[in-house]
Amino acid sequence: MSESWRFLDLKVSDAYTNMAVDEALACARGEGGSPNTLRFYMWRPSAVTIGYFQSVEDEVDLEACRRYGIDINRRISGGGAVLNSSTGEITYSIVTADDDPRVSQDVTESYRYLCGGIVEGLASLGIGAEFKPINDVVVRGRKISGNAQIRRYGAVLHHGTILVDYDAKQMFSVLKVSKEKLSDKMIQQAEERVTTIRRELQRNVSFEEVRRALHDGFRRALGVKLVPGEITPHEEQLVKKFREKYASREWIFRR
Amino acid sequence: MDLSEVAVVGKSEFKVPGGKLLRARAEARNHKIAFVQVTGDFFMTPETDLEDLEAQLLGSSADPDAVRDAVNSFFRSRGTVITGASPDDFARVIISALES
Repeated sequence: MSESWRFLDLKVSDAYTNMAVDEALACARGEGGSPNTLRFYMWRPSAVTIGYFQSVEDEVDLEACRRYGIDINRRISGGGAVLNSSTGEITYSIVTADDDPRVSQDVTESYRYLCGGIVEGLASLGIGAEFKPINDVVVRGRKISGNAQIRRYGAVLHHGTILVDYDAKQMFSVLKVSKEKLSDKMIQQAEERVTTIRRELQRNVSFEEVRRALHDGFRRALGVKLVPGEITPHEEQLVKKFREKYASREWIFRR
Repeated sequence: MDLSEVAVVGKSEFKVPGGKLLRARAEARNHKIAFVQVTGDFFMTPETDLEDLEAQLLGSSADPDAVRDAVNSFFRSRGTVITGASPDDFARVIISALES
């Protein structure tokens, strides 16, 4: 019989809460009182998140974010800057014990295993995707999902985003991806490097359909039973504490 | 005022082939490192090692060989796991920021 993990179904929150929940789940898992968990979430308002080691100044156009009403946050995990669009993606996180035998201590192998749910989920939608080290899932060489992982508190926190739709122009105006000015050529180049579920399927796929496909994909790829659950009162306390950190200028602008 | 004491923070950028992008800001005064910060989209466990490295480099020699040795021996002694870059890549980007 396969092991049971908690499933926290799709919820929409702002960036500060979303990041606080992920850290709270890792912290509570490490303490031993919380189970392994798969969580789905979305962002409202949209937010740029940068990797733990990145500098806001290097990565983000603050004025463009203000204009669009886009929040800015720093993740606890490394990796690159992402525009987490309120209308364009589903984000997921996975939390396990640090010594879980399924999650290899080898970085690439652990990413391959945990990103397997995305590959399986996309396959069930009819999209042939593959894991591409270090931390991407690609379709015909184009990135459809970016992922990041951290080991802390005696837990593994792995999270990532799956593109359903994509606004290259908005992305380029909030992320300083290049010193060049926004040009049609750049947008075209980006569209050759990035793809989305709707683009691959050439239809207006609903978030509900994507959510179901990813849920089943992760269930199969992780080899576990997913049991719908809720955040515990203790985790809720931790969310409050961590949310203050994520909402602070000190955290966001620390590099 | 001695020109060497004018604070000009050097910057550099290095894309690791097949890896991640490293950026450094650094400043030397009297051949000692007076400021150093590395940023980028790499992964490091434990992540606090980067701040510890930066703190340890302050006041140490800005000579390229010394920086290379200091960075490599720091990561080796800590057993830091870096993904998307190597200790030498960190040394390289810091050295070129100091020289810029």
